[in-house]
Amino acid sequence: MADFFQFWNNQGIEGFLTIFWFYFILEFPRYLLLAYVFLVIHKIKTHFNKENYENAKRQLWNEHPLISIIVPGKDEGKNYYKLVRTLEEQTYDNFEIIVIDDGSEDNSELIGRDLERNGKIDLFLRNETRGGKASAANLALRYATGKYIVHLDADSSFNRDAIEEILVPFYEEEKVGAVGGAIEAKNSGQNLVTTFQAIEYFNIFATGRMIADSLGILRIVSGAFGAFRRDLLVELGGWDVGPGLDGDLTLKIRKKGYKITFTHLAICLTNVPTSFTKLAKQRVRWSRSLIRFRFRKHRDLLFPSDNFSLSNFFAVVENVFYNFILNLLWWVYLIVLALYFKAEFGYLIIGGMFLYSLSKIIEFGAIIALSANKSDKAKYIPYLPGMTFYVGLFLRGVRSYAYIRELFFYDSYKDAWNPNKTSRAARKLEDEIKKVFQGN
Amino acid sequence: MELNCIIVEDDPLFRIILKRNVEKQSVLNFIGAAENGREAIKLVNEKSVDLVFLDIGLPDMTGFDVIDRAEDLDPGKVIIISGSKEDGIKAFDYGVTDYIVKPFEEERFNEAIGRFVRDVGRSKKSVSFVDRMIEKSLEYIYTRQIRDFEPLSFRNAKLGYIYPMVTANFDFEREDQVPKILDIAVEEGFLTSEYYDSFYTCNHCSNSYLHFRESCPNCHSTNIESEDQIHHFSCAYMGPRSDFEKSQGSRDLVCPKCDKTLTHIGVDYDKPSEIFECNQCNEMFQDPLVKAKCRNCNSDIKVENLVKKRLMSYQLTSLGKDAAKGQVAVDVGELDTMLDVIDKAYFKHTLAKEIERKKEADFESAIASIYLENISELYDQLGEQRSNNLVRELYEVVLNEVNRSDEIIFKNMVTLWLLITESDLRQADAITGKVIKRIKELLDDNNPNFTLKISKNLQPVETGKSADEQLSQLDMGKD
Ligand SMILES: [Zn+2]
Ligand SMILES: [Zn+2]
Ligand SMILES: [Zn+2]
Repeated sequence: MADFFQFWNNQGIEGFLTIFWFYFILEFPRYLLLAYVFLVIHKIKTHFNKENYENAKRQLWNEHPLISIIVPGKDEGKNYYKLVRTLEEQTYDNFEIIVIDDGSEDNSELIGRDLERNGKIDLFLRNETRGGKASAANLALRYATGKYIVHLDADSSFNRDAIEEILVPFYEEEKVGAVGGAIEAKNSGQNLVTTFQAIEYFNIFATGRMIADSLGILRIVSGAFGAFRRDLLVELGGWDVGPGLDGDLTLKIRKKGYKITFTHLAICLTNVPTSFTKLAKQRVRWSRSLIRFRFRKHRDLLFPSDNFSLSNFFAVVENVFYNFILNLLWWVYLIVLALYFKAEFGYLIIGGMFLYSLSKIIEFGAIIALSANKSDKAKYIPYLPGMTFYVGLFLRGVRSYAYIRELFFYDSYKDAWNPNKTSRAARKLEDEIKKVFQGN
Repeated sequence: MELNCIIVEDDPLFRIILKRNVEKQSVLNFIGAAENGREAIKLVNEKSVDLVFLDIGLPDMTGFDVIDRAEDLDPGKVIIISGSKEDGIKAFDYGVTDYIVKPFEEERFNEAIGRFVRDVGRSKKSVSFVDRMIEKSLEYIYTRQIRDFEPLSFRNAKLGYIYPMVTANFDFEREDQVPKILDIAVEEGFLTSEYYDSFYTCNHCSNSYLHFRESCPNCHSTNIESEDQIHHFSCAYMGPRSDFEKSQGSRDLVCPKCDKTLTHIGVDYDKPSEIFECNQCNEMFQDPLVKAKCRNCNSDIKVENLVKKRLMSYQLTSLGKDAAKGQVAVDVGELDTMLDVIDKAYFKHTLAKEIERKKEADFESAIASIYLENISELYDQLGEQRSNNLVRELYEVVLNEVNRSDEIIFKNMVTLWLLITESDLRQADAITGKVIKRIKELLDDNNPNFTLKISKNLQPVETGKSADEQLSQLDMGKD
């Protein structure tokens, strides 16, 4: 212990900053400083936007448009009843529910048909063979008649005003193409894994997206809870094949010149994975999409073309930089430190833990400040030091693994999540695009 | 039961042999013998004789003369015992029970007695229709030496099948009784059965000519069309086939999202589902109501509610053979059918008589139909046996509400017909109202979760139209 203090005493403030340059230069401004800057911006904005918000809400109710709630999925039958019940409780009442059963192997069809017969689901469509989530969503889109499409997961539930709140942003500004809602972990208190994820979701969905939203660089409207203009979706041909199709669609909307906004007032609760293994699998799937869509399919956003716009460019660069480059760079940084300090590396680990725990607690302060239910959020504070390991090691490790595999082995095309045939066809198409671009 | 019998035989040796045979039969009671015709006639006239063993060649006259002259002698009570076969045909013209040629085996004698005893038993307690049908069937299978009595496919039959000879005894409406009767013979051990075929029949009239078709779950219209849904793999577009047709009915399929031409099912595209659209109300759905319309009684039934019938082939057992030979009596009593409660033909007949009566005298009468609209839902829950009991109960309840001279009968399981005689429409309406009230009460009391929907139609009996016309008019008018 004494050695530990001796070591840091010798390093001094300058040494501390030098050793943790990665944090101070790359992470502190991005995660902490920005959080507080934009918390202030958001508070001010909200304050002045109050009247606009009220007007938008009134306009929504005056127009009272029909909304199509679409729920594509496989083997979700057990969740249908709960889903329908949470939708019946909504304050917004003019909607149709379209459920797509994408080749389920359980009793989804029986349950769905029964709900359809009883008028609880407006349209229940079953694909005899699985086509993947994109085609299921597209089928729902094809038969939807509402002005807006709200895309949900069957295992989610919603605050009573969630549908109403996710529609309001369409009336707050011109040219809003899609609105993302906030997602929170329904089973947050179940165990350590779900608690960590609950905190992570607060970070990503509350602050992370609010910041991105203010900067106009929101990346993803989540498939678990997002609203879209139907005319726009139809024009874009809906969703495309692949993992992380939410992100892909968001980019297409941006390319069309529409805005994507986020509201933390529309809250959806979803069940998160309950073990580290399941969580790792889920995250590997999410991460792969970054490579696939940023690097392969949407290269035109990175390289000047007709569709080029600075904020789109910024959105992509930010995403690629923070999620991909920094992620790989971090391992290099860690190895260099270990090689340089050798035996004293342990002191760095302990020091880093203190630094990151402190950082996490301060960061979470912004979430509490933003939250409507402050005491509810405060109960997560004891878990924050643990988040250092969760985010810094576990998530980073999983993500790096996924990126490397995807870059070198094209893993997502073999993803069990998409039926083989669609992946094969999608890969062939992209190969052809590549040929055209490379002129051979 | 004991049968008094006499022997008419001039040959003393045969008299003794016959007497010994008779005494071996516990059912026969020997009460006397005659050596010639005159004695025989005297015996028959004096005593109560149930059975006569009659020789043809008597010293003073022939056996046929005896039958002619003895006033009380029913030829059915005669078994001829003759030295030659020559008179066999004449004997049966006379209607005698049996004709045995001397000398005879004991077995042959026993068979004759058995058949006679059976016939007597039958005439005493008026053998039931079912017994008669079973006997006929057994005899048919036995005499033709049919190893496997199979139903034959027959387009105009109610079940789509007939059982040779047996079905011919039933009119169309009741043809479905045949398998039931044969199954009773199986239960009684006369036949065994093996699975032959199964099919669906109308819940109300057991007709097998059903018209299956899909209809709209919203408005029940059958004017619906389905379209394949195409999934284009590479761009994930999914929509109806028409989206992929550049012009209507075009053979080339081009993806509306990515403009690629579809080339090979399973490789670049697939048809994972089918969606219906109703031309009547524009409802979209995948799960149409499949309904079966009965070609016979016009009821339209959801296929989930149809009852599956099994049809069997039948084989004679040794008991069945004995019954066919007359050695064992068939006695299964009445079939538990609804024939007394559901009888369209009977009502038609009654109405025809009423029309005739009305032509003669000046009075008013009315016919009414009461339609229990949704009672099949209850039947579906109750099952066949309990539904039948319910109909019987309804019948009895209604019977108490009408006058003795009125007629009521179920046309089928869902429609009740009333003939209210010597009443004008207003009075008839009151009676019909009372009947409906009673039916409702009975059903409501016993089935708290079921609310009966009921409708009625009432019209005066007219002399200018046939019973058939008036009844179909009554059916059309139901609201
Ligand atoms: Zn319809
Ligand atoms: Zn396509
Ligand atoms: Zn019928």
